[in-house]
Amino acid sequence: MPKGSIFSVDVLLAFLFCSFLFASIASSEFGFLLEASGFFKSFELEEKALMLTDFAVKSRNLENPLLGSAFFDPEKRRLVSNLLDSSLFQSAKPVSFGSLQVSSFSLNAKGFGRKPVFFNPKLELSGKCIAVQRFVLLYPEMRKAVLEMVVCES
Amino acid sequence: MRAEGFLFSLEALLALLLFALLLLSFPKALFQKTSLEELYVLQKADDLLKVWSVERNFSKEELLSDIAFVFPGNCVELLVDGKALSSCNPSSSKTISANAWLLGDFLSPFEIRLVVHY
Repeated sequence: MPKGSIFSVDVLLAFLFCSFLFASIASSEFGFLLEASGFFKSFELEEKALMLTDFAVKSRNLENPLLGSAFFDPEKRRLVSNLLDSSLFQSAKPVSFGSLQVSSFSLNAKGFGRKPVFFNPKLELSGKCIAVQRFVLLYPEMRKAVLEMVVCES
Repeated sequence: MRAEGFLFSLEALLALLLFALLLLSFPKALFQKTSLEELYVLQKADDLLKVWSVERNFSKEELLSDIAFVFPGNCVELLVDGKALSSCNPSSSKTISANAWLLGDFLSPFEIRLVVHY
């Protein structure tokens, strides 16, 4: 009987200690996971926005020039990055990738002011957004401009 | 018998504590908050160099006005062949440098370096 009593106290103490330890680990890990998931969401938004603007200045997509409107040099038979085809990017349309959507696309030509290609203010009010700018040259005007794309998570 | 049991409990306690410490420290060591701001600033600095290489207008005023247009409010240093064309007092500790070798008149090569403090 005394042995059994000692054993029970041992187990109780061990159980309490283990429970406390695992509860504190679980709460710490849960907080960490919450913080990490929030961070990864904003990181994904940042990454996609940078990727999209990189597409816009380095590649050429005739179906949707938002995904690329770089000038094609017929002599060199290659795309010239950061040289945008003016006739092409004017027809850019909004595009979405899952929960991410491009809410606005505009060009701020040096000395000529900002000119929006499309703009969706509702999206910018409702979600978390990030604006990314790239410096480009417009062809054939050879005018320098800052391209701005606002990507939102709806 | 009791002494053995006590020794065993102490061992188990130490092992448990070690395990708990390992669990607590492991994921945080792997996870570090990073930002793509560095990449973004580098992309913009590269854009300036690419546009200059296509446009080929290397006047000091034009280069400096382009820098002010792309990096408004930032401290950016411009160096041509190691000589500083502009300088400023950086307020932040983060710095990125981008450089390019370009061909000037009579195909003479020169280096343009941008140092962006952000």
